[in-house]
Amino acid sequence: MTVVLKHSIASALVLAMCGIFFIESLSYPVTAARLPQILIVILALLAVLMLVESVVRQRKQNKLDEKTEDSGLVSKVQSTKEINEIEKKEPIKIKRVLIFGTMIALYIFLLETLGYFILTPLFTFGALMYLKATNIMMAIILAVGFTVVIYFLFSMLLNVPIPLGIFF
Amino acid sequence: MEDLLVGLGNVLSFSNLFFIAVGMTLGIFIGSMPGLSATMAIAILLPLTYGMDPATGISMLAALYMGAMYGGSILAILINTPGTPAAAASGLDGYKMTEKGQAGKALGISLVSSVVGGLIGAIVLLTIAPLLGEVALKIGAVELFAIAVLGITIISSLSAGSVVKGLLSGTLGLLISLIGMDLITGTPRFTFGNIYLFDGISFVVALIGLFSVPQALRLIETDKEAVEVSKIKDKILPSWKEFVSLRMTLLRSSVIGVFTGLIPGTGGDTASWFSYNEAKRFSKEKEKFGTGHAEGLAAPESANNAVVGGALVPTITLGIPGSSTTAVLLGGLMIHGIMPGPTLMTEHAGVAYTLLWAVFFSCFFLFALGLLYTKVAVGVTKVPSKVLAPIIILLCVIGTFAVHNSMVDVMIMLGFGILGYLMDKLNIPVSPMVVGLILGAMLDTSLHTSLKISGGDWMVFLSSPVAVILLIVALITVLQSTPFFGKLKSLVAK
Repeated sequence: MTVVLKHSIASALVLAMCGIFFIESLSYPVTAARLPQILIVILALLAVLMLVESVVRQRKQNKLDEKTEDSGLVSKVQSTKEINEIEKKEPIKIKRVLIFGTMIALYIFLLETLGYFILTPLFTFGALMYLKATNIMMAIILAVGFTVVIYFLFSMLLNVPIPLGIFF
Repeated sequence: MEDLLVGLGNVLSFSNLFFIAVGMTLGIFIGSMPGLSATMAIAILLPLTYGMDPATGISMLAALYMGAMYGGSILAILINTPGTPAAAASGLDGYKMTEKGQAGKALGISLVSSVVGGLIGAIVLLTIAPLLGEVALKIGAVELFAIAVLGITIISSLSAGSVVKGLLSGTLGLLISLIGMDLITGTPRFTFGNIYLFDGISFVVALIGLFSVPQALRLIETDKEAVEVSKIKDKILPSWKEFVSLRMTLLRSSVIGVFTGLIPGTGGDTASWFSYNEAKRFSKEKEKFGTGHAEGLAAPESANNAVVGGALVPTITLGIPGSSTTAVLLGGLMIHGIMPGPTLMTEHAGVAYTLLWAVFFSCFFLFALGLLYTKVAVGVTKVPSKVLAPIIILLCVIGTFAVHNSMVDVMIMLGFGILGYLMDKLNIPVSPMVVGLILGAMLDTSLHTSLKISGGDWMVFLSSPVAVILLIVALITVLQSTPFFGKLKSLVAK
């Protein structure tokens, strides 16, 4: 996906949100609608500016690789920024992020029905194995260990509730 | 003065000291792990403080912040991959020392500098905050509105990347904070009939999602190879003579750190680079910088810990957090229903003054625990980052649930997590949004009150000289990033 396309989608989403929120705000009393409406207008403006900026940057980049001739501090900051950007250019394993994301979503949606004690070790073990983070033994130890530790930490020590599910 | 003593008494209780030690240990530990930040550490551990006394909880989180600032440098020194952005400057000379076989000495200098910086920051905090707290009481709604506007524009403009994106993120945060029942008119705003949204989106829930989930996803995005770390063989603490030779560097850098911390939007990373450059400029041995020179390590290290004290000044006196870390720290108060604002120092004096002292005392724990930690530090750097990802997720799911005992909160948390991840991919900074989430309520009420006083006349904001100055500064902050201002600058330069 190009940089401009990514930003177009983001701007479109923000503008859509602005539209929906603005229409919604029309039914509020004046005092309640005042600040939200100001913010919505600013937000919409910024969304457009963001898109313009990405187009301008893309063009600049196509033309020339700009060089900075700034003093020490700025160039240092610049160089760390460059390092960050290089790091980001490493190929991202999108499939892995999506699958891990799905595991998280499933964990959250099933947690209340299946309960903490069944789902937590399953999720931790499954995720560790899928990510190839450690070997099987270590994954089992970590999964069970953390389930117990977190339970004690929250429930026993601090008296905060934990979603136990229908079986417990 | 009386409050100051009450705070001192509070902090010296066994449970407070114990949790400061716990926070410090966790902070150093998490800060020293590859890919984990102080902000995330505080966010993820926020729910744990729910069951505690507010003063104890916030003290623990402040100690954690202090510890993570030092912990980030351990990685920079040992393997040259800073654990926090603030520690990047420490890697320059710190890692060179490790290469020379002086890893122990480097960690020692780093620790001593961090403690000195932290203490100086804490002393400034203890002196300025009570005074400013008094002044803050006299601030009217008009000025408060201007302060909130200035706060959000500065943070948006100074955060990394494009100003437009920073402002977009901040404005979005403000708007999201308005979701829920409007306290003044009783109108439910942007709830779209959903009953869960009536109380608004919980700040704590949003920030756990924004800081933890993207971090967990980043940890698994790429395959990073483990780095070999050599064992620490040499002596750790610097000699008294070495320490004395560093005194000017330490003092100068700490002062730089405190002042950088005071300004909203600038934090540890700016402070450490700034003080590194200054130390080099004032040094008699400029050529030694970058080759493993003690001064080059002491400067950024003392500065980034001095930031903690400085950054807390506007945060607790005015309720304007200068960075995402201090914003998250305020979450530790909000989880107990304490709203940050100019009245915090008076209405919740017990909590506020305990926090001030906690920052001070946490420095001593930093010294003791930091020294112990050097023994295991090498081992911690070997923890594979992919193991951390599922554990972070577990902690934030269970933690979020614990806040209000609600699964809907957990889903909202995940939603913010995905939002944070996508924003990261577009290089939109998250911190302005978090600060916006905090300032939204303040902006809304102060605007409402101001306009009520004036009978709906917007000119009221031009009637107070203080407000006018603040608003002009805010305007300049935004305009300085526009191409127009760049042209103007070049014209003036000619």
